[in-house]
Amino acid sequence: MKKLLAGVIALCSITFVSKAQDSGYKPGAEVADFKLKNVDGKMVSLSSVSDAKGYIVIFTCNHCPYAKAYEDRIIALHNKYASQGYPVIAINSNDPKVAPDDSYNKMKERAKEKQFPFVYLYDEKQDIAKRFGAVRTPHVYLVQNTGGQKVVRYVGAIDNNWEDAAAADQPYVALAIDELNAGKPVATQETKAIGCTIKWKK
Amino acid sequence: MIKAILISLFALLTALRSEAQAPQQVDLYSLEQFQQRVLQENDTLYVVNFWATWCMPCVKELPHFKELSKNYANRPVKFILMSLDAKDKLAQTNAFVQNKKIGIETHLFSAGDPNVWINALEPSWEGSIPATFLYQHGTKLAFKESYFATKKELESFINNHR
Repeated sequence: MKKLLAGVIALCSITFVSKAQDSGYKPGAEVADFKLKNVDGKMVSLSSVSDAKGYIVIFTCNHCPYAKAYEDRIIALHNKYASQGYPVIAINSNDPKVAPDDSYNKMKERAKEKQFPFVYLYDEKQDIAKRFGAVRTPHVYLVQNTGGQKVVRYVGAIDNNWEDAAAADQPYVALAIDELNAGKPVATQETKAIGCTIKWKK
Repeated sequence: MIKAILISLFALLTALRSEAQAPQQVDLYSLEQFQQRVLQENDTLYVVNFWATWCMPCVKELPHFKELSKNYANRPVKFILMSLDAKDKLAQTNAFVQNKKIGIETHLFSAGDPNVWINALEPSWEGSIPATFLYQHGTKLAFKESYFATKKELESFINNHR
């Protein structure tokens, strides 16, 4: 009877469809450069950022409570790490038809209000989010420039407590950059976090 | 004597009535509490939806859960809503559930580090919501990390795994 039950459970788990992300960048993947429009109207590519040892690419947006909760932490990351060679590249990929607060004009407004020290790019066609495999906001891809290649070193959350920055005891992105700058491999290369879904075009 | 019985019967009925009408209360739930609730050795199928009041697609699909929970009221199927709203939004979440007359058991999931509990519940979960789980006989039967556009979609998801 127990065996039968185990069999049934095994059968059930076969029907369990895993939705692991097959496409998109994983740690170790090489990133193809892209060019997107910044809130100042200029086109920005990764290569156009001079003296970068790498980039903190963050898929984020205006409207999502998680993105809002992390806004000041994203600014702090840039202020600390841009001078160490890792500027923030913020990208909004949401369809403004689904999320009206995430239109290009609203992006410009928000960037001005908060005086974003980093670029805030508009992924109007959503193909950059798709290429990266980003699914939520905020969703971080830490990229390192290494021997002419741009390589993903970390994918996931900014830290481990979205509600309370002071209570976050694992600042994943900061730890990863510190490790890279010390010439060490990144210990935690992937993390999970709850976030808003990227609002895809219908 | 008859009068006494009638009075106590009346009191009992009133108590039952007020029980049924008592406003639904959303409480904080830990990972352990959640696992104890859904991993049970009985025949009940637990349909668990992770959502949040701020999540647009989640709120959009809530009516499907609400309607189906009524359709399945007499069957061993239990719907549970796990809110991922912030802890300090407990009162707002409670008000939301009551105003919308959701009528489904709802908890606010307060399980600490998401990197720990997401992997504990489902390693393939990318972290977006809505996400829906089916549990039965102490086992996870299914997981879906997307939203149900129609009641029918949700119904076939449940029936395909039952």
